[in-house]
Amino acid sequence: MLDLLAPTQLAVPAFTILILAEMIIGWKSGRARYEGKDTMTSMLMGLGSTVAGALSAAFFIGVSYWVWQNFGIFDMGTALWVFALAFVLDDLAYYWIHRMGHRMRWMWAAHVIHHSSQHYNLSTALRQTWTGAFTPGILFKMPLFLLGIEPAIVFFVAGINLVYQFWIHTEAIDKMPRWFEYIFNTPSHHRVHHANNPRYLDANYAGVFMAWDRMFGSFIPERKDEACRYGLVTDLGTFNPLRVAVHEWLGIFKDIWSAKDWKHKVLFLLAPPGWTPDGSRMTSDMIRAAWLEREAIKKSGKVTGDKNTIAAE
Amino acid sequence: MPFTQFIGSLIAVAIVALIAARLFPTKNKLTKERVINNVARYCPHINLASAPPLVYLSENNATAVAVFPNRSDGFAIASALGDRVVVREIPDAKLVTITKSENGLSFNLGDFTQPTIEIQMPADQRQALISKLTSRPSEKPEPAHA
Repeated sequence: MLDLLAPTQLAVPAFTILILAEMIIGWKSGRARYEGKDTMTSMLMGLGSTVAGALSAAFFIGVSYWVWQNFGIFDMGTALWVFALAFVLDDLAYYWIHRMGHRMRWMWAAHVIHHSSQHYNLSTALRQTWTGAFTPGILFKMPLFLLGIEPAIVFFVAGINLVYQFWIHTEAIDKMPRWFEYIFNTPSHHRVHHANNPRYLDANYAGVFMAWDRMFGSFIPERKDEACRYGLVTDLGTFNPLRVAVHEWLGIFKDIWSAKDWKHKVLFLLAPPGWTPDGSRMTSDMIRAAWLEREAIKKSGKVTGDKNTIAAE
Repeated sequence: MPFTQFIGSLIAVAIVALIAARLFPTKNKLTKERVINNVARYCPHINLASAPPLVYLSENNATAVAVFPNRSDGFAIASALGDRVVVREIPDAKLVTITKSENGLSFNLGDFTQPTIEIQMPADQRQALISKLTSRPSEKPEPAHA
């Protein structure tokens, strides 16, 4: 087994220094905002995620190597170009894991944690799941192992991918140069991803390359006339890391328990978050459709004085 | 992860959070305007512009109840969470357990991340709010957000 460094572990001291730097910049300029308890929760979620990842690592490494050794089509070796290819393909796999993390409630139960802060700063990048091991996310990486890329290389480039995504969780940077905004994921693109404005829901899933969002129709640019408002459609009412970590899983169990038939039980797991058999809750598609309807009515002049679009806080 | 590294990380987290709390102290309490703005954001399906909700603020300005005057059912509870606001729309008063506490009212929401919300208010206001919430005829619950 190839012995490679763990980029995320090496980057932790830099993460801490950059968070402190952003805090000071925000304190002086107002371009970034922190809150003590929110920061504490985000960083504890990050620490817990590292522990949870370490506990499940042996299982995922074992499965990945078993697939690679027994079913790998080619022997790709360890040349530099293999690392480059692995980085691009892993980023594509990340796009689909991330997209399914928003569109399938089973995977959302783990990913929702990352979106549960109403703040958007570098500490939000560390607000990571403790329960990713209980989702089918690893399946999206299988094609890389089947292609013959050694799992250690895939895990290494995935680490670099995650390290890249740290710096984009900031409001302190407005826009990068146009060419950079076109090719790479940036703070502007990722702000849209974290926004709960109906216009911005379920967009910009990219890890590093924005090509995937442009290719698969999920790209939405940030608008000057609509500031991002961060958090969940229904925000959490707690800073307690344990409640943050498991709240959606509990919701799924409750829904499955009370579902009338097996089809509904399965759909509570596989359908988008907010799906219910009777439509009593709203999926992001329904929220966006309702918003579009309200916008159309406003434009047609049927309703006057509707102030409900104000960006509260 | 070695135990010493874990403890060291916990200490680092506490220090960073403490610095954040010192640099960005939470000053903004709830005001009627802030409650209405946030209720409007959470409940875009309700046109609040033509009929603003009646807002009952708690004594410590940490929580508030917003009653919709033009709707026979439903109200919203806003609570400050750090420097932000969380709103829960209650489509029907019967969906929550409301109990009188020593200094006000306690709403049991059955919400895992916010099981109970306490609203401190004087006895007269408390009584007025209870009658407002319980006297109205209820209808079918409105859809809640995802």
